[in-house]
Amino acid sequence: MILQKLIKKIKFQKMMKDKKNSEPKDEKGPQSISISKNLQDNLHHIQNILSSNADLIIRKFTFGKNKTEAFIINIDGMSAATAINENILGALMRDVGKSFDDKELSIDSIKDGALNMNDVSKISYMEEAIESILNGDTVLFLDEENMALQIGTSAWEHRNVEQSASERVVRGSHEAFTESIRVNTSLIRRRIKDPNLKIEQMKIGWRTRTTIGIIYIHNLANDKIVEEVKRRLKSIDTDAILESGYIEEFIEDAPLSIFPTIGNTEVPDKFSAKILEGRVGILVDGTPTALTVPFLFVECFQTAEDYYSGSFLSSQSRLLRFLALHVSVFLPGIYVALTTFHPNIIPKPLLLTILTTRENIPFPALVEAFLLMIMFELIREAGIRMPLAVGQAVSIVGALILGDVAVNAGVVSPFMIIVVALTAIMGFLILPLTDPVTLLKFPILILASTFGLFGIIWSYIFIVIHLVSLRSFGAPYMSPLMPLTLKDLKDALIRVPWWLMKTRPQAISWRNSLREKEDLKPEPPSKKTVGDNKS
Amino acid sequence: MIKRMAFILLLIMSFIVVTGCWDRVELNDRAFIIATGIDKDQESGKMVTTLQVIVPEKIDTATKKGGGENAAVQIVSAKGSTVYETLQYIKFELMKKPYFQHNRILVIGEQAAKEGVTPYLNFFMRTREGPERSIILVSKGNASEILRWQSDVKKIPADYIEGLVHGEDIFSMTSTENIHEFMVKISGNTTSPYTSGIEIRKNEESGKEEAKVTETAAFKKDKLVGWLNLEESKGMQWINNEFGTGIIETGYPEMNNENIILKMIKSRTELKPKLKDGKMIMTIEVKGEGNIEELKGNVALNSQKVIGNLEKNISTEVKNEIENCLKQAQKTLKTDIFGFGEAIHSKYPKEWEKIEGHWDDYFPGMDVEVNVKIKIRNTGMLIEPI
Amino acid sequence: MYKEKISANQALMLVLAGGVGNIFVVIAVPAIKDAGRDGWISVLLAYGIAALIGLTLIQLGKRFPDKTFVQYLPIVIGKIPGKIAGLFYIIAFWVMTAHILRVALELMKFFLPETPSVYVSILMSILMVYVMKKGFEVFSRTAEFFSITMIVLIFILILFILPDLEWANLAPVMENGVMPVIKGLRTQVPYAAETILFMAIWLPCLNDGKKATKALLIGMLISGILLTALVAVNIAFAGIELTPKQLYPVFYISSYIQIANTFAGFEAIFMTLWLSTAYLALQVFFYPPVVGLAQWLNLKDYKPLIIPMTIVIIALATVPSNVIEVLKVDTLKNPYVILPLSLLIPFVWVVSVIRKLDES
Repeated sequence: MILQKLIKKIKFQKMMKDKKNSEPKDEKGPQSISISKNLQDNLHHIQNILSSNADLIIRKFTFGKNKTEAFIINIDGMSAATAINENILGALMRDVGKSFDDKELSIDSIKDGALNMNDVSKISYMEEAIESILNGDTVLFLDEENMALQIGTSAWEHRNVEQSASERVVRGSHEAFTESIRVNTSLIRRRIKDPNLKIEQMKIGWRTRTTIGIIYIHNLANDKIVEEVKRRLKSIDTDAILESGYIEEFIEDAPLSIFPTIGNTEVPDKFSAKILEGRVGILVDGTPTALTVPFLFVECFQTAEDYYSGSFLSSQSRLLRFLALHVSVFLPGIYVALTTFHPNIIPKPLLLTILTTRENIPFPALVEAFLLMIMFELIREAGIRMPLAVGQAVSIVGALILGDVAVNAGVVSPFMIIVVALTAIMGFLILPLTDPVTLLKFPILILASTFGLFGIIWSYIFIVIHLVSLRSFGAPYMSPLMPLTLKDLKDALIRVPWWLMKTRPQAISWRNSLREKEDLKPEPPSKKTVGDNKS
Repeated sequence: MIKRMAFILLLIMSFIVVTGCWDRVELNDRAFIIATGIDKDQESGKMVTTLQVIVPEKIDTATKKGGGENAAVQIVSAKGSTVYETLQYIKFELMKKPYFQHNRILVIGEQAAKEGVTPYLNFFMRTREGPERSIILVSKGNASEILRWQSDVKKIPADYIEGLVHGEDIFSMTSTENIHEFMVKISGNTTSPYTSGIEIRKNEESGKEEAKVTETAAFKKDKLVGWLNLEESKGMQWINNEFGTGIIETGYPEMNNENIILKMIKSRTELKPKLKDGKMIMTIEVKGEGNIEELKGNVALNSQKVIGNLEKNISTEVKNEIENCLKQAQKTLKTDIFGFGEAIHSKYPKEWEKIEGHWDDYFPGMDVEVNVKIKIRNTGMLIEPI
Repeated sequence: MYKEKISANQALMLVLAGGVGNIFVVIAVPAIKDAGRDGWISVLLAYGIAALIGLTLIQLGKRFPDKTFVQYLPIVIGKIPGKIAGLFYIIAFWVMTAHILRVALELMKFFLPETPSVYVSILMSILMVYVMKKGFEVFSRTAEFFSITMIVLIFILILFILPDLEWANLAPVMENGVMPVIKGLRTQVPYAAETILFMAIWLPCLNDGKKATKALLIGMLISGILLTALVAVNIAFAGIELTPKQLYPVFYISSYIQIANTFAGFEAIFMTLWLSTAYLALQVFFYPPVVGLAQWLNLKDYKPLIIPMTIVIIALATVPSNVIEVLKVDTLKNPYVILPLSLLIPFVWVVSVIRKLDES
């Protein structure tokens, strides 16, 4: 029954998909309407297309000695008003008469000689005009011209460059990306002043016309990967892209896997580091979250700060994160398996303690674990969704009061609280893997309570097979662990000092893999050299 | 792909449904056995199993000490013809299934031990619950007495007995073997097992009953054949290279036999069989080093001569212990608890083939040479007597 | 035909996976039964002999660089005999996969005595099917991980049991001359040669054929030493009288380990060890019949064969009625199935040299 329903649902979805595929052709708006020589026609056209828009400003004016008719269109709030007033209207109405003969007055001479703006180009189709208007640019229409001028005035309110809320560091740059793609590209350019840094741009979404930036370093990134990224991006045919998450789901290698195969970051220094390793970055306008591909599993354990602070401590914290992953996925299962299947593994003193605390608990260990884990997920969800001040209150009530009362009331055992709390905290250590960690806990718990340790190890093998079978834009996901790449282990579970990081990750870069000179290990000048200097 | 995922999901769902049967047993439904006693009932000829089972309610983790009436164990016993059968009766009594996973002690009554332990050990080797590491003790009298005895110090009496036995090991009085070591020897050809004996004695002064480890039970194959007293037990530890860092108590003859306590820091025994005129001679070479911990009396340890005398004296003492033990084992008990047979086997495989058949007759008449060399390394913080 | 490629490193791990595989559970008893105290010498020698057979296989691989054993058999020894030998090879491995699954299920009874075996069997075959569908590359990558895990765990097991060992149990060495050792080879060479027969199928996948010899020799050395150590530890632990009386001596060792008088019950380590080796062994034995059958039938892709063949394996695994029969199969398969098959490799090599067949 359920299967049949599912199949029906899938069929329905397929149908919807086909429908969507047919939509774009009708929906893309006016196709190739040329700008006419008649100014009034153009005005009508635009008013037709952009009708009932309160924020549309159309300014008709005349300029020059011949009182040439013209109008400019822009959208209020999306363009820089001072620039329009000073550099377009001011230049045309005030200065043109002084410096131009009317004979010379043409669209080219205005473009080249009158407008003191840096981004001006000629357009000849209506939809180009519409697009640039919607983009915040100003379009200048002149009478008797079958072309218009698009003037880059787009400037809208955006957030300043601030600290990232999700990726905080103690040491290192505190800047984070903003919603504006231009600001973001500038943040990257400021870090990598290499002429080979390429920023290619395309627009996706036939309604949102979202700007997508593909960023890579020409000689470092594998051409095949760059081509593949472009191919996958081009194949996205949808009406709206509001966040990079949309893109992520459209171009993933393993769409049904719960493991992320595309990296994301909010901070430009991390992004730049990834680009410098030969990865390809994708910036999406309207979101501070940028994407990087290919994404390897070990990247989940790397943070920007690992590279700024000492290598020994970084290595230790990476190993801890690796341990945290295992704990957060397997601990509840292991606890249930040990207590209900293999109590001989628990040392006797510990067993006695568990026995005393569990004596009057009404539920089996599985139910107990389930209850607490679901409770925790609820509290966490509430903590995230609620306003900041209330959220804290919720977590205090949830964590302190509920937990304490539950133990005192004898509903759950204190050990289970320890286990679930530990699991939850460990889960926060590895943010990129939040999805799999949260989702995997429950099936593993069930397997563990049915088959004991066998269930745990079975699921471990299953997960390993799954992980190993993944690829991210051609790079084996589990590299450098499986397949074992000895050269890359230097920056996987540990981080070696910078003077030993001689090569880029082998799984990604294909040439120019050397990134520093040999023998960079810092050493004090030896006694002999000092002596030489003295003499 | 989605269909397959749905299938796997259904499979997992089905596990939820079937969960609850099979091998899952909640901690609350398990009874953990901490010590086991096995006796032979003379009248009926059946066996009696006595178990010490942990009672979680009575374990107050905050105050682990104390005992007596508050012992955190329940004593249950049942009569039957096999271990498994008695366990079934006990299961009814407890309303929980007993588990051997944390069993630490197996006490065998003297009578049962005399008639052979293999029939009982079979169960412990066969069960999946893996109690091979449980130590075997032989009780003087019934095993159930030992299990019913309650400690003043520990909430779990078995913990006390375990500490007692391991403690005795540290002071090198008797040696204890566990089920595995026992089985290896029983299934082997010549060597026989031994283990500590335990008894409940009434303390004359306080009037309380105390568990004491005093003698070593010597087996011949799986049957108890006799006891070695404390002196002989020490000798046996020397021969079996188990003395370790034990204590030697001896006198100094020129000084009114004042007591000297020597704590060994290392000791080593080697069994070296020799072939002399077609006859096997076993040489026991003992080497050891120790520190003087206490010296009652007016002895100045300031010359090499005094130390030398002392060393010689101690060595003779140890030699006597060993020879006493050998006499008891060879002449009275006639059981090879030292592994002489194995030693000959690995050094003289050819000759061993001739002896192997009549080893039981050969062993009591074997000549043994004992060489002991004990050195004194340290005399403590004093040289001259105070 | 099959474009999957593996690296030299992975080849080494595959040799190890086949070499240690599920064998570590069952090798001690037959070794001691045949060769007594010197069982460990038999094991070491057997791995030496198997390595020699492996070398002839590599020589064959050089003559037919793009073909597997099943494919060049008909070319070398004639079409019909070759096809029959190939079919024998395929069916033997097919049935042996079922046998290994059954051994795994029997061992699982230690942990889950009341759970119906069929559930465990289904879970194990889900792993088999899953990894086979993902391809040989994925398997060799997991083999890298689990082989290393396996070696580390066996090492830990040996390390923890060291204090309880009685090395005197190993003396006297070669008490009854070399004959028992030779007799032991009869059962031990087939165990060691299993990995070579597995190699016969994956050898063309190796991306750098020159490194095959190195991978083979290192792999056989490591697995030979590991298993020799394991058998020696078994003898030193429980003696030659108690060990053969047990069903799974290695399991017995693991349950005996105790550290600091507190931590016991090392079945957890054993379970991890056993499951990862069972996974590897099942795959090692399942891959040759699937790929072999596809090549024998001249199919383009082996993937459609996976599920039907797995179902047959699950069914076959239920055939022996009890554990004694399972052990009987184990003693029968070595001299009558694997030994002839492993001797076939040098034979085929000699024939190909005489007939001067060379496709490289």
